Amino acid sequence: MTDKQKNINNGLDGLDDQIVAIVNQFIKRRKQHYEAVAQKLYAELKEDTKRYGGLLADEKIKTEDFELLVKGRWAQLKIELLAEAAVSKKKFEDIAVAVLKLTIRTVMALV
Amino acid sequence: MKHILSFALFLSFGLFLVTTPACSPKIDPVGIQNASNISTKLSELMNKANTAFGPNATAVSTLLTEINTAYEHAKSVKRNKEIAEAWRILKDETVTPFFDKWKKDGTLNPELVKESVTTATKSINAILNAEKSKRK
Repeated sequence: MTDKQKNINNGLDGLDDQIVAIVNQFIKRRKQHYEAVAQKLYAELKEDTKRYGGLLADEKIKTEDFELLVKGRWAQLKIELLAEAAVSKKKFEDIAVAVLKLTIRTVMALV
Repeated sequence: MKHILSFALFLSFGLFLVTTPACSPKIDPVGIQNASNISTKLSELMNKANTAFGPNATAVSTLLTEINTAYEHAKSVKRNKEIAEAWRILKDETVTPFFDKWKKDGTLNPELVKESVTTATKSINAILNAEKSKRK
């Protein structure tokens, strides 16, 4: 594993608490439920984002490819959650956008 | 008093039985057909994105129209807003940006194609599973 890849992995792992904080910004009721949903969502995304980050660090893909992959991966999770009707659409959208911005910002700062 | 309570309980239970099935959406054969057809076509076409866009332009345009038709159909179905929104996200946030980039760049990086196909396939499978899980 390259140093860049290690930095990306550590950076993404360090965001876990911030995800809970983002959920708390948007959700006033049933916080625990939404926190659990967001953490599950983020854990799944994180593994794939680390792999995309590795491809970017190894220069196998470009920055714009990385952004397209992360956005596509977010779309997948939103679709999976909507298909399960697990969370309400509007609140989930607010959380997803905030977490997406944070994830991309973190990885881009480390590459 | 006891009779009134029993009657109220019976009435509540009856109302529960009558109203609960109506709240869950009914199975939609057109929705299943749309998701199933588009799933196959989408992965086949996306996998061609490491070759030139030009010869595939018509197929891309046709598939985008089919996805839009599937979205419009999902929107027209009652109590179906989650699946309609899932189609919109697939169309606007997954498929269209991918095809736009393919058109702009001419060909796409094989790593990008491989990862994008996985994402799109899982997304449309989630829609297909949601359609199949509706009550019969």
